[in-house]
Amino acid sequence: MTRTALSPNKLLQGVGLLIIAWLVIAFLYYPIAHVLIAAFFPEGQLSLGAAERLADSSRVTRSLWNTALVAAVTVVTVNVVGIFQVAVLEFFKVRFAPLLLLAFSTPLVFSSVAAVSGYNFVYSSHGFLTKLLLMVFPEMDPNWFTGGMAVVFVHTFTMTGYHILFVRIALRRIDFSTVEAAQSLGVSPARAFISIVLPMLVPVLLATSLLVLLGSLNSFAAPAMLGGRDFYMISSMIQALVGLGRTDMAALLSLLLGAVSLVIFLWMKHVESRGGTVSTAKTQAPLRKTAIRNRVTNAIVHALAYILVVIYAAPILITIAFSFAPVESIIRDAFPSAFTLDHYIAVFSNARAFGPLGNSLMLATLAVAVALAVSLFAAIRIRSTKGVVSDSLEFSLFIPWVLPGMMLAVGLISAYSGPSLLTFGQTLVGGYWLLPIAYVFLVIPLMVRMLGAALAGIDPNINDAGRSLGASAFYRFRRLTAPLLAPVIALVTAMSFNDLLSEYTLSVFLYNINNMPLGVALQNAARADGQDQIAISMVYVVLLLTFSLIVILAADRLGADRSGQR
Amino acid sequence: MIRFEDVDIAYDGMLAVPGLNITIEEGEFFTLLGPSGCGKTTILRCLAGFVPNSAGRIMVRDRDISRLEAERRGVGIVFQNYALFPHLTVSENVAFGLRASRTGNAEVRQRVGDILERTGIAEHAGKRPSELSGGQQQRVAIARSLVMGPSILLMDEPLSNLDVKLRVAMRNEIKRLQRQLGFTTIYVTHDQEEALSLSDRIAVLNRGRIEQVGAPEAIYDRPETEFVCRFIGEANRLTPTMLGSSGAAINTDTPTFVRPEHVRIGVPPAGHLHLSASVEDAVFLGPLVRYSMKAADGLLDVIVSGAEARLAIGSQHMLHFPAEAVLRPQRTVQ
Repeated sequence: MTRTALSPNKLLQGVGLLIIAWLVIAFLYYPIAHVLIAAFFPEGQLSLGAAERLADSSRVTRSLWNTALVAAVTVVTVNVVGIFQVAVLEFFKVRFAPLLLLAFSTPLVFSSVAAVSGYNFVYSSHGFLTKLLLMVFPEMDPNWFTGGMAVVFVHTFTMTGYHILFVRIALRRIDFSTVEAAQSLGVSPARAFISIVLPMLVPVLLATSLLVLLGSLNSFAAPAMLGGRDFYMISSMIQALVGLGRTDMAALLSLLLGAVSLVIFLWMKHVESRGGTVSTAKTQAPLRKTAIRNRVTNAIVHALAYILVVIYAAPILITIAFSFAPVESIIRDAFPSAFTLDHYIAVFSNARAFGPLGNSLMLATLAVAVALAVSLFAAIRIRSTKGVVSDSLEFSLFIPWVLPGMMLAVGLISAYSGPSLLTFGQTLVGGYWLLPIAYVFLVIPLMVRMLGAALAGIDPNINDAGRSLGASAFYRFRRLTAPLLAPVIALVTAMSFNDLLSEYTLSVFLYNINNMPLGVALQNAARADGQDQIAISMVYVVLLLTFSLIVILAADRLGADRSGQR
Repeated sequence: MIRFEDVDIAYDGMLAVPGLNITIEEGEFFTLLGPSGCGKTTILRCLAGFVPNSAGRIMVRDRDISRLEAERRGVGIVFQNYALFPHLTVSENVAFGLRASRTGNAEVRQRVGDILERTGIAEHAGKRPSELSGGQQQRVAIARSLVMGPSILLMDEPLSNLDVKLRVAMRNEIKRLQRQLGFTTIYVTHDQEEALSLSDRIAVLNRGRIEQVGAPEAIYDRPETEFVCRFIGEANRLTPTMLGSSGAAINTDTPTFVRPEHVRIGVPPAGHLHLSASVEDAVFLGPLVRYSMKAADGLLDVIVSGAEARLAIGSQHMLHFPAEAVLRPQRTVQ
């Protein structure tokens, strides 16, 4: 057979490309187009009515200001806390550093709606700290933890994960002899950290700050659950507008969010491409921790570090502890007075309690399976064949990375609130399938990127060796590519599954009564004062936390195994 | 028999190998030798079917395989980095091609066992590639190709990742297997010693073009181009001034060379070309001593036995060599 003939392999590729083209057009481009149409051509004609109404609405204007202010303050507070953490972990000698590392790493496993719920269990009207404070100050407002301050507080302590991941690694790579040189010139360690180390970290701090900015502009769970009645950020405003049936205004707002996110994303790419400060040293001196000589300063640094440990650990410990407490104790006590497994038994035996968990497990399984098939096919195609088709495929599948989930959700609602040709005459809004379809696009960029990187890491000669031994494309995939990719496939599956279990933004917009997922159930629990619901949601948070921990540990193990191979 | 007929090979939009014509005989050990980037691996990958030829035909036993997919060519290849499948054991690696072609279990076992014995790695059959030494990995790569019973085996610098001693041992091993099993081998290397010791014939390549094809002795003793003369072995360029005292007429139109090991130091016998030179530098290499000698019109390298008496730096001596030792590559490659 010659290369020009249509082999079964090529036929299969053609069918695969067609399916992906349909998915991308129907559930990405068409909804985006609908957002644009809803925003600017609501009745088939160019209209700036939505923009005028947005500008006229004081609530909308306030929400934009709130968003800008919260995002700006969050960037500052996250950097202050994050840099302090990195300094006490890597630069200064602080006792019990492993404990600090454990506490400061919790945002990596405790994020999104689960973390917001956790902080709620500590600071809300029935929270641990509020109960303690009420004992001392009975007159205080039990709903003190609400509004912009509460949102910034939770943002601050859930977004320092980037500092632990990226800034800490960058600090470790700094040539320590530069610090020693500064010390030999009479500069104290603290001054050396500020005047030598921090400037070298500027590129990574800028990239991290942009990630934080992006996260807080798009933040939804925190303002929705902690904002209270009068505090809106852009995301919660969009949700309110969709609820009011003002799709045009919601579309325009989500477009604004999308445009700002795109600018930040491109800026971040630019920062990344410029790279960091390059050390001129041929042999780098490894970082050595320095003791703080001034006793008072040393005591203050230690105290602050341990206060942070308490802030990070409290929501997790309180949630775990109270998830085993009887309902009366959750409501009444500052500390659990008795322990029970009832809530766990309820979650796994009571159909109503298991509902959201079961829904999320099913939705995540469906979405991850489809996303994995699409991503695997796309990653191999992009890697093996250059050209317009592969480039378009890559571009299309990376769009959701930049596109705020909210904008996709608004677009999907706007596009499929009635029957459509693209869905073979089906109306998706109000049905089961819209949410899992949106989930698919949420996890695809990460999968394509990680599988692409893993494919690039496989020696191309391995495939050529298989060819020279007469193995067909399918046989080579089954016996060579798939087994070599297996660890990464397992990893992206687990990470995506983990993300989807606690997904909030798309869920809030696209769920219906038949598929209410965990994220929405946690939000409802935080708003309602139903005592059983609080207990059940604590169990949900503990289960999410456990699953995240398993995924992170497995990823870490996998990383160690892979580096050990080389 | 393999024939490249006016084959053009383009790589990344550039014509890497223009108008290639070579014929390789059945059972021959044929080497493509040349510096990095000369196109030798490209030719090998083109024959394997990984790189298409943009013009011409590649004939194997009078059949045009130019448009045949790599997996259907039946050409074995041993890669420079071996490309062993890291997740499979040695015997699974070797059995891979047989399994892909749905060979029966009993036959797979028998053929794999046989080739593992022949290549001396039977005791490592259950190990993964990461548990093997470089030499053992290389044997697995060879066994994996040979088990398919290919009539043609391509080898892309297969010894370059081994240390010097192992390289020599494996060189002999490859030659033994090739003699024993009789497959046609096309071997790519930039190492001239490897090429000279292994090959029946060598094609010396430069910038995608063949400079000379011939037996190792012919390539070494009668280089046809200046590139071959300088690339294979070492060569001292001779100038008319150098040999003025010999009374020998040197044609300055074509460059003239003499190899360092053909130059002798001492009183020249009758008929030898000779010149006077002083010792500029001496390097002791164990069995040999290499002198750098300053003559009237430049430096000449001279290699003599280490057993001979050492010459003092700056001392003046006569150098001589027979007229037959003079190399006059005259052909130019377009």
